[in-house]
Amino acid sequence: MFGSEKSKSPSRRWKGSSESRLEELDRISQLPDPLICNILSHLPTKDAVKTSVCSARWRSLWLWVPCLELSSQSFSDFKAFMSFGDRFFDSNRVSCINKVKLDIYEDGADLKSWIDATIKRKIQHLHVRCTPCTDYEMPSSLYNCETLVSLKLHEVRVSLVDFRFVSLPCVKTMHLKYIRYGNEANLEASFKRLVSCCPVLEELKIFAYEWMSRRAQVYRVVSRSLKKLRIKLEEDFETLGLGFVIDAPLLSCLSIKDSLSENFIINNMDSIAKVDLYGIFGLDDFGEASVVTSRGSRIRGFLLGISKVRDMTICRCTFKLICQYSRFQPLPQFGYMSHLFVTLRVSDLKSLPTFLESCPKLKSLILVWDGNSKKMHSDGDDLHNPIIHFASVPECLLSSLEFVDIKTCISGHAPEMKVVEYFLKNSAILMKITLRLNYYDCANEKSFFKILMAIPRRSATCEVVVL
Amino acid sequence: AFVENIPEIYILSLLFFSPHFLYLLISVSVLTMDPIPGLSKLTVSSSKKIVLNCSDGKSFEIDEAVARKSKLIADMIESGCDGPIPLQNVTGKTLEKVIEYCKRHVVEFGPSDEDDEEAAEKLAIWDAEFIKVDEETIFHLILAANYLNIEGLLSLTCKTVADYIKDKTPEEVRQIFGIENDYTPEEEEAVRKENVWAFDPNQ
Repeated sequence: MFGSEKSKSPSRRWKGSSESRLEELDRISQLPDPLICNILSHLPTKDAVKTSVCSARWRSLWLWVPCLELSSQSFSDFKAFMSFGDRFFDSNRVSCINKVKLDIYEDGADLKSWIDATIKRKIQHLHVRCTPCTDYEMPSSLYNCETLVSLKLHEVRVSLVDFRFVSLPCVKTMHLKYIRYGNEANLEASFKRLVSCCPVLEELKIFAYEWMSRRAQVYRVVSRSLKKLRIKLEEDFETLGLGFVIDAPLLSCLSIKDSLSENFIINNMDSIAKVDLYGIFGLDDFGEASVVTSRGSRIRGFLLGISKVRDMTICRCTFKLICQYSRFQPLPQFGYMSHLFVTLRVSDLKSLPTFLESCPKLKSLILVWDGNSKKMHSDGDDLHNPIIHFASVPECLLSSLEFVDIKTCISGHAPEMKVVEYFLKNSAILMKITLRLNYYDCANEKSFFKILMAIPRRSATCEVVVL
Repeated sequence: AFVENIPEIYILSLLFFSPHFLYLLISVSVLTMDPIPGLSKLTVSSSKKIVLNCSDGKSFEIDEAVARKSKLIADMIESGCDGPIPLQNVTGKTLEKVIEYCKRHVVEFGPSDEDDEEAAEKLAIWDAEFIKVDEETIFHLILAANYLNIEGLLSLTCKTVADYIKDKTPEEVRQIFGIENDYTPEEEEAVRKENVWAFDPNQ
């Protein structure tokens, strides 16, 4: 039926339609043009173009589809791509365009005039992706587009400083990935301008290579409407001075992969409800000496700043760092945190209770541990100093934890079961714990389930789900 | 007994003559006067019903909030249409399906559900089941969703049909939909040449 696997047999039919040729109606061709275009707009451009061969009626329908998704790699040679683009974006055409996504792998296309055409034709979603080898610059008309709602640029050149009037009144989503801003001198000004001229901006993603600027540059994100911010800085080596200043009073969702350099300043973090810390702080190790450094105080400041979050996602490096930090400085209480997704190394599992101590109201925990589960009970293990050992039972297990989801596939080894046991035995109001069993690796399924069922559960209503 | 009643009478008379009570009287009457025509109709009340009449005589009574999923009907309500709404272009069978869609979609989405992934997933599963219908029905639904201006339903139905075209050769597409090929072989060759990149099976 609908949605079932596609069969190559040409005689496949919809259920319910008759076999006889005479009774068949070509219902789809009976639809008015705009509706057929609507159907084609849900297809990749290639499939839409192929329909031109179906019948004379369909010859040019694809041209009127208000969406285009094109990669220069789909064409046997770049010239064919260029002429196709020239035809689609011909300046004489006035029909509305809604979405355009272009992947351009070579230099030479007249991208500026193509984008000019889309802006004239009231584009709403523009996504341009180029490569480090190309050098395409965005046309000035882009910065005054009244209809643009979503702008995603990847590896292109943006230069705003020369333009007096920049206004993007409808842009809600903006992704700026590895953008070159005119020349280096213009980075700060161009970037700030671009962001602050979007009065209804809600989502912003900034990806950059730290080495893209040879001197200190500061990305200033100033937006009264911004809700979601994602920053990813590829670090090749430690650079001085590249920083962020974020002034967004409505910011509720923050995701950072950055080394939290000296210049990483977030004004007013109270509104942040959801945070995703991936590889921040940049340090490999946090020793006692680091506490008194400026870095140490920056970490402390940051942790205090996000202490009101409700939802946190944390990667293994950050987790390790925070655990080391917590040995020398107390962690702030994340009193509002109800949801935590933590990825950690097997060797850090024993620090989990310490971290959970600072999440007194935690309701839902997603746990992933990295590393060979066999490592969990390897040579370093002995009765006096086992690798998996939980020293304490934090408050949240006793009073608030309701859901535990262990995303790592387990095979039933004793150390893994220790983790499961820890939660089952100690969580007083646990409602559901979800496990994933690696059926190939599990030595004895039956005994696994036997052991699992035999673990005493502190919570009477606990449901154990094994996927 | 008389002595005990005095405080109550005293309080009552105080209330009656107090400026607050008079203010209350005045404001209540202002509210019921309805100074802006249609203002009371704009407030969405779940108890208000709208009647829809189909082309084949069938009639449906639904909540106003459900009816408003159709921009066409919402506009009609806003411009003061009070009685049953005639829908000449929709049959009863199709409208029944449309109403089913609208009912499910009006309940689920409130401002708090925007970020609710689980609710969105459930809705998507419901949509997938809902759209398992025969060829005739789906095209009727497309036309109805277009006429009634129901964005979600139009998008769902068109995407379903598009999934049948995806990754198919034109011959297969013709077969599935019963499209008659009225090109001459030369014409067809010319069309293929126009966009040779699209027909290259290797890309």
